[in-house]
Amino acid sequence: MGRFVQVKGNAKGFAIQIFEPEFDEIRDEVIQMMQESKGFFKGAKFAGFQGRHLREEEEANLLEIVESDFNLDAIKEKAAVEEPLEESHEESIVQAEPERVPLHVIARTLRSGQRIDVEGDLVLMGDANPGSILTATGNIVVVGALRGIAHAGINGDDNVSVSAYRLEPLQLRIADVIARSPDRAERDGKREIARLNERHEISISTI
Amino acid sequence: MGKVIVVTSGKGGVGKTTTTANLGTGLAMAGKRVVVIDADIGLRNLDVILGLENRIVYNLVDIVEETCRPKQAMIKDKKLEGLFLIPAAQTRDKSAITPEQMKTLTAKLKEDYDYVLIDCPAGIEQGFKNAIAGADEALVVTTPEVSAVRDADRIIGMLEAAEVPSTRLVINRIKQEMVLKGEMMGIDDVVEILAVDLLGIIPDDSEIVVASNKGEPVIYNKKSFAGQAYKNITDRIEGNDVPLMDLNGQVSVWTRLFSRWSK
Repeated sequence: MGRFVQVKGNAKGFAIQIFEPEFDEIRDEVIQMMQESKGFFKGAKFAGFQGRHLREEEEANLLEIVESDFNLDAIKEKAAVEEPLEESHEESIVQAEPERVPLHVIARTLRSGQRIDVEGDLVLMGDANPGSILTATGNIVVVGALRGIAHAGINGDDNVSVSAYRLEPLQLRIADVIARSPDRAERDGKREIARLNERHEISISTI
Repeated sequence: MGKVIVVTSGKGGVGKTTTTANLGTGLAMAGKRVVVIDADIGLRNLDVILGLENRIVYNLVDIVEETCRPKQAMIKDKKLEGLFLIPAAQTRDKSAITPEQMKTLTAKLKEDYDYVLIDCPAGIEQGFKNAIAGADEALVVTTPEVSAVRDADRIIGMLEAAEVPSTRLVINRIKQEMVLKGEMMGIDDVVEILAVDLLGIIPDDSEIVVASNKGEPVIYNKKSFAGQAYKNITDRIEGNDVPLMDLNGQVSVWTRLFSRWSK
């Protein structure tokens, strides 16, 4: 059904074929995402690419798009971003490719009773209504209103965030920490990001 | 040993969930230990009416599938020490539990609690069968409309067939001006058709909508007629003899009750 997943039937039954996205497709999606969310990134700092491993020229290409077309300041000391990956490299004896964290971009309205569970990072372009559930092993970004439950870092990764255009969730869960909305919830959701602070509590700041 | 009461109706939108929330709250206000269970798996509402939606972590399906202990899924009310909610799962459907599992759960709960109230889903299928499985008593909610009464009649027949020991009727959303003008069925008309004991009547009251939106049952609002009506029903469930509310003179009734409280 999707661009990266196809169902194929054969004599034994059906199989799901998963395609790796081509770099062109990734680039187009980045451009599209940045364009659609231009206001969202205004004045933000760009901290690098995560997830899928990018070749040097690919990364340079993407960086140029992000910097020139969208006027974002990239943080220059990229080493800080890449460090964790290199660490895990050293630990493994076999020089394996770094673990790929796929990015899932889903454009739809998520209604009550519906859920999206992904391995990797999740970008929902649309609203997540009360009663809906989003989970990801990585970060969650809602380009829209988040009014349901979002659980980032579902496998225990606590260095992840949940952010939304309008952050009005019933509950936020990051790794093993749960926070619920205040009982007299005013509908004044702002562009906010939630992550764990040094005391291992969920803290929310505007972006 | 407590009592398991299922609140049911057949037809949707007649006030089952509102009734469950208010009676649960009323009984807990009277000092009873109460569990309310939302059996409407996939279309849960009771949590919203009670204003507890943001506290849900585990639910009814998690209990029967033993993903959690019953206590973990029981959400304590914001105000009342003795009131607990077991919410429905939202991402599952009615086939996620069986009548036997409900029976086991309610039997266990009534050992520790005075009342277990079950909010039944609309319809007569699996969800209904789950909800009534362990019930000692059924409250059938209807409104004075032909369609709702027809469905209530069907439900009462099914409750009899399922050998639920006792069935009582709650007539909701009565507009007395319309009844007086002959535009709406009166209490007597409904009771005559359904031929079961009448537990209570609730006047149509816009405060219900306000209360639902606030997530605070109307029974807290002492100025509301519907709130008072639910208080009366609570007292009757407790075995007290309380006369039916006089819908013709609501103002005088209210004044009288108010003077009683302020003593």
